[in-house]
Amino acid sequence: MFGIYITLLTACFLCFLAYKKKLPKYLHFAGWLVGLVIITELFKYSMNGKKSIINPVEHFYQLIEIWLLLMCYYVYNKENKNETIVKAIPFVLIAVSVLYPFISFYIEGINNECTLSFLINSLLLILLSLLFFYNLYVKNTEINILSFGFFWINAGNLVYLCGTFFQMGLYAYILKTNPALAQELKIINHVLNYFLYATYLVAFLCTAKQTS
Amino acid sequence: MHSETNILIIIIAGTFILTLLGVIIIIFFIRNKTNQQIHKQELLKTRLEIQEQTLQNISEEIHDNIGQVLSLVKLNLNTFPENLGDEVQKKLHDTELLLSKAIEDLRDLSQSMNTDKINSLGIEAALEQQLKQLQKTGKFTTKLHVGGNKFTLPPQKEMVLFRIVQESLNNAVKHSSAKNIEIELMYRPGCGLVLQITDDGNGFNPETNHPSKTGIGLKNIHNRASLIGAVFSLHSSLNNGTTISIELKPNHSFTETS
Repeated sequence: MFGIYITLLTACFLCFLAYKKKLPKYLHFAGWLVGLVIITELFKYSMNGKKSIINPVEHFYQLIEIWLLLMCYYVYNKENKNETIVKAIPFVLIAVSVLYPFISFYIEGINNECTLSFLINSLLLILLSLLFFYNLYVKNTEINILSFGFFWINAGNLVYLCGTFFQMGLYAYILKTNPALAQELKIINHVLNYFLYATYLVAFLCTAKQTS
Repeated sequence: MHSETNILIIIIAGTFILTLLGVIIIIFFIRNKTNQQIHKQELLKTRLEIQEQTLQNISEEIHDNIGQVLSLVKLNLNTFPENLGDEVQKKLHDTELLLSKAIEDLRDLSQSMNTDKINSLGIEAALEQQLKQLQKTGKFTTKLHVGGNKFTLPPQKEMVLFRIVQESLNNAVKHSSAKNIEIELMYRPGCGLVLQITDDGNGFNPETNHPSKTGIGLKNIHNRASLIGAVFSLHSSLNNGTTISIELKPNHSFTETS
């Protein structure tokens, strides 16, 4: 399972690198995020379940992930002149930069499971995806939606984050009461991860094809 | 144990409901956008059909009425007696020349608007005629390049391409101060057809004149191109002329000709 997952991530990242020049700037952030995911996943795998090392990495990863994705939405919305979102994102960036270390060190503990920042990430990104769909819905655009890369990124984010919201949100709690069940429920996360990075791959491919 | 079952139910139900919600939002969005596009395409098609019909009516009106009346006026001019004096004779002669030019120009105009005429001529001959008309003004040098292995296009597509060229030439004549205008029609079997209209005029900044932002002429070209599933692109910069490209991808409606 892990091999297939890494292969999908690698294919996605290689596709991003191959077509980087043809992709709009906002998709570069999504591409680098895939690169970061590869490194994080390989590192976690090599640690062979050592929670004292994996958990701090996970806390750190959540902060970089939200930074990259917020930058992605910032550049996209700036290009499309969505002033309200453009004005709001820098404040959100500052807020998460202050809040996440505080959560990690003082509320959850850096060596414990990372739940709160995951939930905040999910809520922020679901909101941004829904705003993206709403703006595209109300604007009279002439784009072919299925060959629009950012649509696939948002579709992937929305389904993944909605799908993993409960499982990841309650993961730390279940892990304490029933570790076996917590591991079994991780299948939801794994399946949705395949979907998420498949949509990223489609996004890079169809954007590159459209601009070539 | 009881609380564990409750949590499991919450997770599974929550995951299912939220995933379903996400999928429903996306499906609703795709369907809505697709319907919007179909509706827009139909509207555009109807608008162009009405436009085409109007042009056809005007063309027939010019040919059958105005053209006939002017020909009659020309005939009447020839019936004047020859002993009217040199000055009057010269004026009559000049009037006749002007009238002949007006009749010829009207005939050209009528032909360029007439859908049936363009369809019977075929795209290449129609383009050649269009460029000849420009050349006749003495202000432009024109060229038509046709390359590749020719294939036949459906008449509607040829008509749309021809109207795109007319609109582009109109733009070049009106706004560009160009001296040379070239049309390139490149047939690429398997890859489609590329039509390029190039002028060496003033050019402009496409960022500020993008078809989606300003310019009815460019917007018309963009709309017409999207109606036949062609890709419209524009290359221009200040003082470097303008190139309009229309790329028509191959599909079942292309037929190879020998």
